[in-house]
Amino acid sequence: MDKLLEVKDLKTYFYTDDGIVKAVDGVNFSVESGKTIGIVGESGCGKSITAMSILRLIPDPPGKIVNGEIFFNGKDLTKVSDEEIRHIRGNDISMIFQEPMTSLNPVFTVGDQIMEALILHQKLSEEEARKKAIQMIKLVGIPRADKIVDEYPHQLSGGMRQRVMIAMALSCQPKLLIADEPTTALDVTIQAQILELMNELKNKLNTSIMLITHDLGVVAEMSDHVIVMYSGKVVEDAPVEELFKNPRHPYTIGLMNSIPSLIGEGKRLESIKGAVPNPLYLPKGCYFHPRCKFATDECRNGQPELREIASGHKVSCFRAEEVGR
Amino acid sequence: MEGGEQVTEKNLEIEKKPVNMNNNEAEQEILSPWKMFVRKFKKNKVSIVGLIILIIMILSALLAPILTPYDPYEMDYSKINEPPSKEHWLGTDEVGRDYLTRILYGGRVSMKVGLFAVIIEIIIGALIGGLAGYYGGWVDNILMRFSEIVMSFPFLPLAITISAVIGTKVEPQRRMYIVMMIIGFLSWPGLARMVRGQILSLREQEFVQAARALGIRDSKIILRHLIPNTVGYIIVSATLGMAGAIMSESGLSFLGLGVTPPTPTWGNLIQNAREVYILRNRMWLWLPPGVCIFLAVMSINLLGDGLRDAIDPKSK
Repeated sequence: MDKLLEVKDLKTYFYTDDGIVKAVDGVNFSVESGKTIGIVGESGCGKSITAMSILRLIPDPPGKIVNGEIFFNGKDLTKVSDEEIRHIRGNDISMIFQEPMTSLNPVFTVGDQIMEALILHQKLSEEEARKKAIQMIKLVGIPRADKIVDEYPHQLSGGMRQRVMIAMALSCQPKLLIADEPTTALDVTIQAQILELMNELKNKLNTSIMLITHDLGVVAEMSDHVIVMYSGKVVEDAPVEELFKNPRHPYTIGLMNSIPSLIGEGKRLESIKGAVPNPLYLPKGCYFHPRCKFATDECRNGQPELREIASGHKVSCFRAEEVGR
Repeated sequence: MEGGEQVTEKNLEIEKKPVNMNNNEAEQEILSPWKMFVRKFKKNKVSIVGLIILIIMILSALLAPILTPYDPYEMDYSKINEPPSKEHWLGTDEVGRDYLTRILYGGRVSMKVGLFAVIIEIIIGALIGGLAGYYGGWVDNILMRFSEIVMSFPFLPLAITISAVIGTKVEPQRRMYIVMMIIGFLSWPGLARMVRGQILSLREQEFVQAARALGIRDSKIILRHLIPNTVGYIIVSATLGMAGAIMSESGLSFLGLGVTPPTPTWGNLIQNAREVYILRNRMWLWLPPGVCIFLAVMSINLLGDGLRDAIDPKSK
């Protein structure tokens, strides 16, 4: 399979008054075309910043991509001109956001907002764009598409708005869809519908999806490949089945143990002790060691590199071989 | 069998009704912002009065040629300084022009000046506020310091100076446009600050991020996505600004520095009151234009207050 997107040693730092925040610190991964990659991690581990870096939407100042290459279709997105990246946004790579309630402009009709990107990128006329918008609204499973197209966001429910966001994001048939926690703000039934819709559209339009979430259930359902991030670094990178069967990083294991299970006796749910370290004062050595029950002196002093322990399975842990569920 | 079917049909009909009613209720509950605005505005009786007065004044100014048989510039030396009569409801002035006609046409000029001054104010204010709010940083710094500089000029002395310098080079008919521009170019900073404040908070919302992720140009984001979101505030400030602009125009014209005769405006019509004899003996020459200014400004202010209350979602 060819690689649609390849991120190499991406470093995005924020220069704040208190010091440098290394929000993304040397991240490597790739997305194959037509596949879904899941990015998992706690809040503040750099998932969203990674996504924003790909589209170059980091607020600058204070943020800056200080190092790394992002190859998309053979082009390095960190080097292209502002004009070029604008043509890529929405057209080749588009993004949907966490909050469907605030992601649509309250003063425009839903149709206008879908049409905007179509007119801009596909150079459609107003009429064609409107037809296409109605078609997209139908595609994402909203009934009465020809009515909805003239309605304002406040007239729609949260699930419908997220569907509209998806319609908007997919209207130009992008090659990559970045979904930044697309279902977090929705209730569980709507969540399932939205995920199913995304999967269906992925197959229909052959779009790759980069799914950012902190919900391992969603990842298991949707992804082909998973990346686990912690404090701006990739700690584990594996195909989805391998990861769930054979997690190797203590953090991944901790995350999995903290999912309630339906099987077996009711026990107290495990949790990972402590909290994500303050990005301004990262611990020496492995960033995870203060919370890790396997930590040794080696972990306290040196930082582990991401290394391949099985085919396609990479972990950054000194004791990956000994650690297991 | 047939009977049974009829029963089920009837049942269906009965079931349908409440469902439809529920739908209607749901549709009624979700009001568009515009409908909510109209409903709230209607509740404010004082503002409605303001709106009605304003509409009457605008109509009478627009329909002036139909309402009066006289020409505002036509002099009739056989009828100089007449008191109000059946023919001339508000008398005539020192060169025999019908005074009511002059007031109606004066209203045209005064309100036109107010309107265009406000349009200039909105264009500059919204643009500068939008740029400053969206880009922030040094752009914001420069634009806001600049608007503070404009803001800290004392209005009257500056307006008087400009109009004295430019005004003499312009023929009287064109002075109206000079006055519009002076008022417009001096009054935008307040609006710019307000729009900037609004946009500072709006740009953090996700729909702006979403628009950027769709590859939409900054200029389009500001003009199409952000400024329309502040339109409520702009309308309010524009109505109140128009009242201010009419006052400024009257003030300047009264001092002889705004629109000058023979073009009538409410401001230069009150100039008559500068003569003590007229002030004491010919009330009809200065009271009506004064009342017009008062009514126009008051009704616009009442309207503006009503609009502000109706647009603010937190007010009841």
